[in-house]
Amino acid sequence: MTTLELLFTVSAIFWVLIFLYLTWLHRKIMKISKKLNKLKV
Amino acid sequence: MKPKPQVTKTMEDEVSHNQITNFFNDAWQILLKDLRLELRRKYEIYSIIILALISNLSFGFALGPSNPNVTDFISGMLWVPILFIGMLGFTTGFVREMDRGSIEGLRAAPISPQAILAGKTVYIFLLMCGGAIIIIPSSMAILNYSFHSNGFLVLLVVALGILNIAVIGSIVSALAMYSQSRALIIPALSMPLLPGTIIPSILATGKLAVGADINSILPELQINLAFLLLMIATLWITFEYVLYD
Amino acid sequence: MNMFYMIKGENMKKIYPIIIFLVNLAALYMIFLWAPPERTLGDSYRVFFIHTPSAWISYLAFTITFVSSILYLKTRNFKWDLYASSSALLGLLFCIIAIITGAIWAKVAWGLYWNWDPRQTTTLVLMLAYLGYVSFRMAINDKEQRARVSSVLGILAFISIPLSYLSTIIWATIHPMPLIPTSKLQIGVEPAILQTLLTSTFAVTLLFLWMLYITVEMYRTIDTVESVKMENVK
Repeated sequence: MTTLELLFTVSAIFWVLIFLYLTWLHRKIMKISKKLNKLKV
Repeated sequence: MKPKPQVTKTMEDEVSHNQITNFFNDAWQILLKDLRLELRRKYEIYSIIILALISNLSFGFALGPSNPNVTDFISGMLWVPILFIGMLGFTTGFVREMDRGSIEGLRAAPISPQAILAGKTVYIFLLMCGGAIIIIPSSMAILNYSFHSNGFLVLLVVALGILNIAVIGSIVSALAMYSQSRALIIPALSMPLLPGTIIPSILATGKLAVGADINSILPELQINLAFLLLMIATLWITFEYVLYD
Repeated sequence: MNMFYMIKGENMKKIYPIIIFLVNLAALYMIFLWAPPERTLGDSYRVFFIHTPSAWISYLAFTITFVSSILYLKTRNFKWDLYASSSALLGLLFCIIAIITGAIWAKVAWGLYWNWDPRQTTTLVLMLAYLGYVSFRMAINDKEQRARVSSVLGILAFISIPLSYLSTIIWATIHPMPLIPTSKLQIGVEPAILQTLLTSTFAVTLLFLWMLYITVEMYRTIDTVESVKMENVK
């Protein structure tokens, strides 16, 4: 593994995992806000 | 600062003395109750014996009849089955009380939560000691090895390690009784707590197997002792939150 | 944590992500372009600017879980339980990041993914602790019971982590690995490298706090929805 590949892999792992977490969070928030709207109606 | 009057002091002493004897009495009663229950279920004791022998046999088949390197594996060979016996025993602590519904009786009884926990801990400790008494000599006989150091040191290390696991076991059992899958959650629950004590125990046993003296296993003993004291202190404060609402 | 409460209003909620994005962008610039190459390791040491903050966050998150657990038991305010659970979840995430990035770097630098370095092993133990904590929380249905019992687990687990670290240090002294060069600790001598490390740690900490905030908000919303539902059923 060259240095460039190493740096790329490590940053990709960091940002992809953060991104995945935020997507999961976003999906959950969307779900819960739908439920909330139903309850309000 | 004035010295306290003599009379009050002795009264205080008496009260604290009573509290201490009460504590040990209560813990002793809990222990006796659990031991009586356990003796009624002899099949559990048989299953512990069988588990010990099976683990020894499988290690024997894995390593061969008279493996010259057997001392390298002693600590793993002893602690893995002891740990599994502990896991079996953890369920008998509080989870069984919850399953049988007798936990409400324990909660209502005029016993301090710490005494209940102490009784359960000693019970799990004795159960695991029973397992260790079967495992260690039989593995020494089956796999043809002996410890090259003082036997009392081996006993000390094993007893302290088991005591630590028993403390963890009693609290883990108390936590697990609230979950849906009572017994199945126990390994996951033990995960945060076990490494701090099982690693020093394994290291110390490994050193003793090749003939270490007390000075070379002192760091491990210190860590295990610190673990024990820290756990006891924390549980003394927090355990009532586990038992009561 | 309370930083987010200092300035209220919907607009501010939208500005925080932008600020965090800009700070992280600046940190990225410093990590990859501004910081000079290290003398012995060359450019590959830049991994530390990502790995070290993640490891730091994974320990910080567990400390937050610990403190929130104590505060929950003292005050019985569910706010603290939300902080404890959200922080544990994020700690698990950053712990996984720290372990994977550390293992990759170790493979490149020393030829082994796992070299039983005390810190590496302790981080693994920490990850297992988080996994146990999170899975235990999932196994309890009753909200009050879950908060109370998992608080005790959070406290006990936090206390036992330093002892695992001490044990792994002893383990490492018994089994010294000939592969590991001792130059690892000399990184950070140059001021520019230190400044970059501080900036990237600051950026990732901000990111973590923001993520913690929205996770807490999400769980709070879930809780209110559940309680409203329960009332409707009644």
